[in-house]
Parts: sequence; C-alpha cells; structure tokens
Amino acid sequence: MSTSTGSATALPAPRLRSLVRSEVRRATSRRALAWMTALATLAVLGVAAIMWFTTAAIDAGDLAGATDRFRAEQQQSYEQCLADPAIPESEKQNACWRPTEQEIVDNAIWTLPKQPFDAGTLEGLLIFAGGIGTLAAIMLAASAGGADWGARTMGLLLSWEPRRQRVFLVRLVVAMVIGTMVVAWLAVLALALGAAIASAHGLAADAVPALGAQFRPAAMDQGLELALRWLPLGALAAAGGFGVAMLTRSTGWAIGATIGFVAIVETIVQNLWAWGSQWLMQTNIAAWLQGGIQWRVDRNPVTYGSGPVVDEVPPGTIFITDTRAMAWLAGLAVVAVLVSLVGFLRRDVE
Amino acid sequence: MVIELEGVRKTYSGVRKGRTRAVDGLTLAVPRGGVHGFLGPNGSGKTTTIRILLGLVAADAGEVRVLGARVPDGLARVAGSVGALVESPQLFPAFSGRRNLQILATLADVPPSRVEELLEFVGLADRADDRVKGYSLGMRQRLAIAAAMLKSPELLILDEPTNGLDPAGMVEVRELIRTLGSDGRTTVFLSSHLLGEVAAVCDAVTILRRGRLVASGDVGQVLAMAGGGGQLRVGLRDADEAARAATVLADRGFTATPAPPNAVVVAAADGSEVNALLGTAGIWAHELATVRPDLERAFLDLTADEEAAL
Repeated sequence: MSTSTGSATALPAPRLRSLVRSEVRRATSRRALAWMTALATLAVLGVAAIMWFTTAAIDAGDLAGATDRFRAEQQQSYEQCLADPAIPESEKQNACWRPTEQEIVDNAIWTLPKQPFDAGTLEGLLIFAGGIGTLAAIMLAASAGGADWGARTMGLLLSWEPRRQRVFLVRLVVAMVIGTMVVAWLAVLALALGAAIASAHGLAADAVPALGAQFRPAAMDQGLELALRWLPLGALAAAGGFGVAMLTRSTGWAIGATIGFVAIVETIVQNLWAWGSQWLMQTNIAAWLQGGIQWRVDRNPVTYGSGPVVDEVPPGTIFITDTRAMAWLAGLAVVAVLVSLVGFLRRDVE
Repeated sequence: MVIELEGVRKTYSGVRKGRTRAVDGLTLAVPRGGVHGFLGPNGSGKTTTIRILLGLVAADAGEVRVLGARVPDGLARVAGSVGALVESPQLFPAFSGRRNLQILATLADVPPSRVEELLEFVGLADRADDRVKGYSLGMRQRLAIAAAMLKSPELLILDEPTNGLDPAGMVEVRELIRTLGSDGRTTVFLSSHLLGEVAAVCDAVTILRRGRLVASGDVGQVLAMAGGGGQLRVGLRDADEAARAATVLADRGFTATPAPPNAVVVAAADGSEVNALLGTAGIWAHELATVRPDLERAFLDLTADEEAAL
C-alpha cells in the first residue's frame, strides 16, 4: 500500500439505474448461472437426442407394410382364438376380437419399431424443457437470494444502498428476469430441436393423411403456446425461490423447503384431502399448461388406510381454468415475496 | 458532528442466551475530522453500535445521526459519503477482487479507474483476477479496505481494520488512517481492540463498557480521566531510600507504591507538597516527574469492572 488514496468528491446516493446495473452485473457474473444453464441445456439436448434415436420418418410404403402385417397378425390371432378349445363356443363371439379395417389402419403405425416424432412427443420435450428450466429458475433465484446471507455480504450491499425496499425489489426483478430468460432459452431450444426432429422424423401430411395433421401448422402452434406458457411459470418460480431464500436467509433452506413442500406436503394433501388438491401447486401448474383441467372427485368419504374418515367430500367435478390456476400461482408467489419483504425490512442484518 | 448518538439502546433476545443489552443508553458525538478511536472489551457493544450507524441493526430507542442524516430514514442521502468495513471482511467470495470492486463501483457510479487505483494501492493488483475465496485473511482485509475507500468517503468506519495483516501491512494501514484523518475532509471512526493502534493514530477516543460510554474525548483528556488526581514518580538514591520514602508518604495518607529499582509512584497532583514532606524527613528526591498514564492503563482502569466480571 504505497500510492495516493485519491481524493474524489463524495458521491450522491446510489441511483436506481446504477443499482440495477450493479445487480445485473453481479447476477450475470455468477458461475451458478452459467453452470445451471449449461446443465439444463445439456439435459434438453440429451432428451432430444433420445427422441431422435427412438423416432423415425415413415412413408406411405412403411405404413402400408405395417398395415398388412398388422392385419395378418390380427387375423391369425382371431383364428387361433376361434380354434381354441379352451374357450366355450358360446363365449367365442365375445372373447375373440377382430378389429375393423379402420382400427387396423389407425393402429398399424404403433407396430413399427420406431414411431414418427409427433405432437405428443414434442409436448413431452417442451414439458421437460420447461420443467427443468423452472427448477433452474427456482434454484438460481434461491441461490441469488441466499448467497448474500451465506457470505455475509448483505451488510456490504446495504452499506452502499441502505434503502432495503429498493434493494429487495431490484434483486427480485433481476432474479425473475433471469429465471424467465433461462426458461425462455430452454423452451426456444426445445422448440427448435423439436422442429428439427419433426422435419426429419415427423409425419408428412401427404404420407399419412390421418396423422399428418399432428404437425404443421397445428402441432408447432400448440408447441409454441406451451412454450410461452412456461415463461410466467419461470418468473413466478424465481420470485418464490428468491422470496423464500430472503426469508430463510439460506439457499439450502429455500431449495429444501420448496422441494420438500412440493414433494412431501403436496403429496400428503393429495392423498388425504382430495378436494384440496385443486389448491396444490402441481395441480395448478398442470391446469395452466393444459389450458384448464377438470376431474371428478368420487372418494366419499375419504379415509387414509384403515384409519378414520378424514374428509367428507361430496362427489363432484372440479374444474380449474388456466386463468384461475395462474391467479392462484401468482398469489402464492406474491404472498411469499411480501412476507419475505416485510422480514427483510424489519429484521436486523448481522 | 459526523456521528451523533443520543440515548441509543439495543437489546438482543435469543432463546438460548435470553435478553442481552448490547447498547445501553449510549450518547456520543464525533466531530468532523481526525481519527476517533472506539474502544471497549469484547461484547461491550462496539460492533452493534457500528451496525446501528450503518442502518444494519435497528436501535430500540434513541436518536442516531450520521453526517447530519437521521438513521435509518435519511441514511440513503449520505450513504455515498460513508465507507465502512464491519467486522470480518464481507466480500462476494465467488468473484475476483477486481470484480468485487467493479460491482460496487457500478453501484455508486465510481469511475473504473478508481478500482485499478485502489487495487494498486492495497497491493492486490497482481491477484486482482483471483477469486476472493482463495485470498488470505490479510488479502481480504486489504480488499475490504479498498472497498470502503472506493467512495472517497467523508466518514470512514473501520472495525478492526488491521486484523489479519502482517506487521508491515499494519503499519501501512495505520499510516493510511493517519493520512486520511489529517486530510481535513475525512473522519475515521476506528474500532479496535489494539490499544497501541488507537494510541498511535487517534486524536480522540471513546471507551465503552457494557454498552455504556465510560469515557470520551481527546486522548489526553481520557488519559487524565483515567489517571484520577494524577501520579508522580519520585526518583531516589537507592532502594532502601525508596522504601523509606514510601513509608513516610503512606504515614501522611498518600498512596505510595515502590517502583523498583529506586523510585516511588505517589498518587498526588502537587509535586511540591510531596517534595516538602520528603525533605522534612531528610530524603532528597533526584527526580520528580508527572506519570502520564498510557491508553492501555486508562482502558484497563476504565473498564475494570468489566474485566473483573469476566
């Protein structure tokens, strides 16, 4: 230490723009972001590779051959059934099934060793990408919120910008934006990979008219809609992860509590209180992604094992619209954030 | 005043330790300029006070002002003029030293050149791109000092700034503190358990005990306060004469303690009275000097209750 100490004039209070720039700089410098994004990207690439190797393009000839083989197999089974002495003659009409020609055409494709990449497979890829992206968003946000407590750097940060509300909100927004961007990246990647696999292994409309409609334009449009539906989930997941981390002041607790809640508490509720399932995060995420869901609750009364009656649920249909699902999930995230903010404003920073 | 505390109280409540009063009605005023030492035994409330000043911990009662701004509400207005190093160095461990300073510089719109200047200044330019988690305690301390100085603060709050530094580093930091304290613009509020450090660099000092102020003022004033009515050192011809002098003085009601090999320390402010007494007894002093208590003695005296309790 041997040079001048400088003599700049005193600085004004930090500006909001500077705080945002600083937080963005800090967030994007974190290795966790690079690592987690890289791992999630690899996972999506891996699943896409599996889909590539387990699907194949088929043409009209493949389908015709499969149809012929399937028809012959079904005919042979039917004849064996009819000739089976173990089956009483009076029951053979019911026991021995012969598919119609339409059923043969519709099902023949599934007898091929590899099926084409269709809308359902694309949906699976997008659900995987969105799910892993959302998980990454939770972990990144929880890590961003908890790291300062773990390293005891919150005091350093607040000695530069003492307006806690501002610090909290800026960090929350940055975490949400990063969470959304990670999900968006993985969704775009999955869509691109899906489109690439579909172009090579997808059904061609002219080859299989009955199934061709599962792709372009409808399938890709649906895929895009599903991808877009993941984005707000990524933002809410980040908000929740950040909120819990700031509340518990620990990354580990935040991630553990979130995963524990979803894996344990929600499973228990699902099994013990059928009617309450509509308020679970998993249910509402599914409802949001699927554009609304409904199911029938018919366990009345509800018991757990041989235990006493734990619920008196009248049978009925539960219907959750996607709007209601999103409103509920957003409400949960807002509550987590508000409780966390109040704690941050009131509690001492050691 | 750069720091004003009035009747500040802070109590911590815990399940295991129960209620602990860390700061108990503390009133303190630190004038602008110079280096103000902040002394006290462990657990006397120094760090809690500093945390209150920075708005990290909320006081239960009392008024706190930093650079005229009320804490915590007005702290944002003066945050750009307050640099702080609190307890152990708090830095982002996963980032390099340079990145740490760059992030803070971005937050306060400090020009990037200042980062390089300070890295050079604290001797970390060569290791600036290494991650902080790989730094030694001394290196972290240097980086934390650089971070505190990044804003060119009017008030620099340093909590144990030489912890972990090697002797040469300690000397350099003390020189730096001294330089900053004498630039006419910066006030350094230095909390330290190293009495020698405080004595060497501070113009004024505040001593805390159990969260309460026991002494505050210029170092000289505090030393005088600790020294009570003053002490005299009486030099004599040999040890026998010193023992005889101690007896004579004790007979006259003075507290006199032999100070080997051939002196007596007497609790008295008036040297002529002591000299006259000894002369009457046929004892002639070779030396009569006022004993100036050092800060260590003052500290121990003023916090004696605390030490005894410990």
